Amino acid sequence: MSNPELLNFDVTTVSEKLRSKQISPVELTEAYLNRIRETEDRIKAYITITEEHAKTAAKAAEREILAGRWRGPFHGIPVALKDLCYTQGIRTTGGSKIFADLIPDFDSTVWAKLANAGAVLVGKLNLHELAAGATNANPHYGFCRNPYNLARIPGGSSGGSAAAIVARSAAATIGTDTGGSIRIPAAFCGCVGLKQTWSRVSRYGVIPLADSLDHVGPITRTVRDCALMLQVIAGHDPNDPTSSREPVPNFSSAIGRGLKGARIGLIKELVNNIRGEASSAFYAASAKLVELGASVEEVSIPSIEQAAALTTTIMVAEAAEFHEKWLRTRQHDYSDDVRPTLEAGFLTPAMYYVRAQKARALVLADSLTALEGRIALIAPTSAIAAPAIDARGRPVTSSGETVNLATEVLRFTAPFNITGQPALALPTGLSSEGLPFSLQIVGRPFDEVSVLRVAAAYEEARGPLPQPRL
Amino acid sequence: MALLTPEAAKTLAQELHDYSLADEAAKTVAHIVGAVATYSRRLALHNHASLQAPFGYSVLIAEAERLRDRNR
Repeated sequence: MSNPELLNFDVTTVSEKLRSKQISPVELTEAYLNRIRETEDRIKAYITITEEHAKTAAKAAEREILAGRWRGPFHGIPVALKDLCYTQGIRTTGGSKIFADLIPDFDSTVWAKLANAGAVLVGKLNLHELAAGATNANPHYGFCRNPYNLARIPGGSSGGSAAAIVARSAAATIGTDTGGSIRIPAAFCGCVGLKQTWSRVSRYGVIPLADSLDHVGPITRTVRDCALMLQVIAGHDPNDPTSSREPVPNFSSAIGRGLKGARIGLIKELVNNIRGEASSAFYAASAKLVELGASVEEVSIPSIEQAAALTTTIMVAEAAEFHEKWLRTRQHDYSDDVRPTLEAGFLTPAMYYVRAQKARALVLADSLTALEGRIALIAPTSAIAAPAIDARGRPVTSSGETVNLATEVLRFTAPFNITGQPALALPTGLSSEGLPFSLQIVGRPFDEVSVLRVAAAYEEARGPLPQPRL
Repeated sequence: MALLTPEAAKTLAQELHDYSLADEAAKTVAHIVGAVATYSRRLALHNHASLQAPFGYSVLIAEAERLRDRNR
């Protein structure tokens, strides 16, 4: 028999209980598998559930822990991966028809590292087809739903990764982020999502969307879990020569240090157009940081408004280069939603691509100037809470008007794919409709420690978020 | 926004890449490429001649070594 109360613990708490043998990985895994069975018909967070694999891994973890061979905080923890991450012998679809039958013969580095840390894989998670969109209205594997309101989108592209955390059908998950695909679903679903510095985590064995913008990172229930998961997956990988050789710090080292005397910049270009409850939620979060002893001052990143256009230019070119052979041979296996985005790369001149790559330095320079003398920057993660979807999977307001995700959401997240800076999304509370709002915290390249410090201090002061009723 | 008609997008894809765009997709492609072109032209007004595109030589060397390993 499994104990559903086990689902209430974050990784940090439950891992101590595993280590001290108060609970067993088998019991914990069974609780999560039961929860998946209870929720999946409504949420559709998973594409593949790896029940037998999970049970075998949980028994192995149990044997090792009982024998005194505890591998670390992820030993025996049920995790799930966005279905872009290769898993040896387990189907990896990319949320697409194109890769529907792909069974990799090797593991992505991110999964290899988690497996080596003793994590238990409970499944592969739903996503926007090929990570090329932000609704997770996936025509091939089902529309993933927001646990706070099943009529709302979870955001994307890592929608399943965030929905599973909030539905409590995985203890921690992996997402990917090219223009906001970790932070947007974390914001809409009400959990923590970190896009760490570009190159901090290997992308080897992860189906790409746009190599120079893609990041692989953690989505978790709490900030401290996020730090623990990043600790496992960060570091240079010879199989990904773009992965960084920067030393990997202790990402939890500044959690609990508080914010007294800390200076934080508020990005004025990203608060100019936010309205209503989203604005109130953001400024309340900013005021909370001040209550904690930080000073929050407006800063400017003048070039930030260019970032979304830079992202589009780079993304369509790199994505078309990767997908060309399948576009030529299996054009109709792509959905009408995703295919034109990829096809646009056929007509994007190389000159535009190189120019956009050069311009990334301008945005990063402005952002680093804004960070001078400060430990982090803040902005909303999104100007809106999770929108609804119509029958075709298009995001709409409750009155049925189409929502422009580029201006309402990507404008806030894509700049930090362009700059490669670490950026974390963290819930601030619920709207009057019961939907989460989110604060984005941005740091210097390779300074995830400060981002996690600010996030942890805010999270503690905010207190627990009301859970969805599922 | 620079205007690229769906018909022009279809013709360019066909002529340059021997690739057929569907009618509906051609509208979206024309819109995206038009927006990218407009933006890129605007960006060209700034002088970026002194900036290097962020392509690292160390990555080039590492990729060459990986290819050599694979071919051994």
